[in-house]
Amino acid sequence: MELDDMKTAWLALDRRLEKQEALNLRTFREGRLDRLRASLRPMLIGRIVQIVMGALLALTFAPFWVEHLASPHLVVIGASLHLYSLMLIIGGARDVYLIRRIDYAAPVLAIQQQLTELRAWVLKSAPVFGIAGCFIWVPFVLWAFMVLFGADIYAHAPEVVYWLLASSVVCLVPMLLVLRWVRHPARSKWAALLERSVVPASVYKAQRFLDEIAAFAREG
Amino acid sequence: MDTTITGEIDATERRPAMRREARNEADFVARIEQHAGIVRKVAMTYSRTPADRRDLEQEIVAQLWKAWPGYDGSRPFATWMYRVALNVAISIARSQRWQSPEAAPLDDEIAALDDTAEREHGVSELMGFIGALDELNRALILLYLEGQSYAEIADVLGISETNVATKINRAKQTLRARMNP
Repeated sequence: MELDDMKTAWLALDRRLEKQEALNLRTFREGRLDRLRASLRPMLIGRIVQIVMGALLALTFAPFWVEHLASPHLVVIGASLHLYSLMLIIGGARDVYLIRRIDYAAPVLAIQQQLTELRAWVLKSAPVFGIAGCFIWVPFVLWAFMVLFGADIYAHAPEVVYWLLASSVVCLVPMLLVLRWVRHPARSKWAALLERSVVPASVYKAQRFLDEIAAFAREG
Repeated sequence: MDTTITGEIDATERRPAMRREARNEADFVARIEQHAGIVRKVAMTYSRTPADRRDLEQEIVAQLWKAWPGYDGSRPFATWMYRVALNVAISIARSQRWQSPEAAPLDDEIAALDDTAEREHGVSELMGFIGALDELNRALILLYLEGQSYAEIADVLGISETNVATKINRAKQTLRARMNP
């Protein structure tokens, strides 16, 4: 059987399916499109909320370090929280940009590449927020004590801050191990096994699909 | 008084817009019905179960409606429809493969359709062949089976005509090897 002979089979298959059921446009006609699954919509809403939260936090933390320019440690506390807020805004804005630029009417390869890049970016940026998250609660606690109770913990008991930072390292170490595996995907059997267990497999799968797309476009 | 007048004006102004919207929607539905085969065949090519196929058809129609305002009327409607339908189908098929990496057979219900008449036409062979392809090559073969020209396939997929010709030839060789092991 040749590929051209399959055109007959293709038509036979479609005729059979067509007889069995017509395309159901009822959902569309009843104006219930909003209820239809839109795979990227929850992500878009989540990122918009993230940007708004980031902006509110930035507006909260920026005045703190500006008001305490005379105390370097308070500047560090306020600036690190401010920086984290900006990370939330920038990360969310990039996601929104990547989602909004997707136009399903563009050529298949271009869109599949954009979708896969979005997926890869989301998965790759997650560990950055994870690492920042290991530490950011420390300045947040110090800021909260300062704002709520007027207590400057670092000025009165710096060892408490050192302990808090040390506990952050406990969170950071496994995170760094994960990142190490991401950056240096060792090829030995055991390393690959460990890698698969700690790294979101989708990162590699997304990258693999990008490679497949590149190969598909290249062959010619 | 002002509110009433404003309300009346708004309603009057809204009516032509609403009529345009209704015409727009009717035009969309008519075109989709005219090309329903595209949605049906794309969904059939990328689904694992009948329920998946119906969901995929709905998702394709939803994305077509979303993309409809941007449709350039001077370009072939079918090409635009293939692009949207294939992009939606491939994206969903990929995400399902990420969740469940085993090979994706074609719809079971379609397999059940393979009665004597279809067997004569080689439907089983066709399904086996398509089922073994990755998502991008499935799109290529679907467009070829649909009788699209190399130029049209290249336009939908975003690759060169030469590339399309090479891939079609390779698919033919693969099929020959599969049929005559």
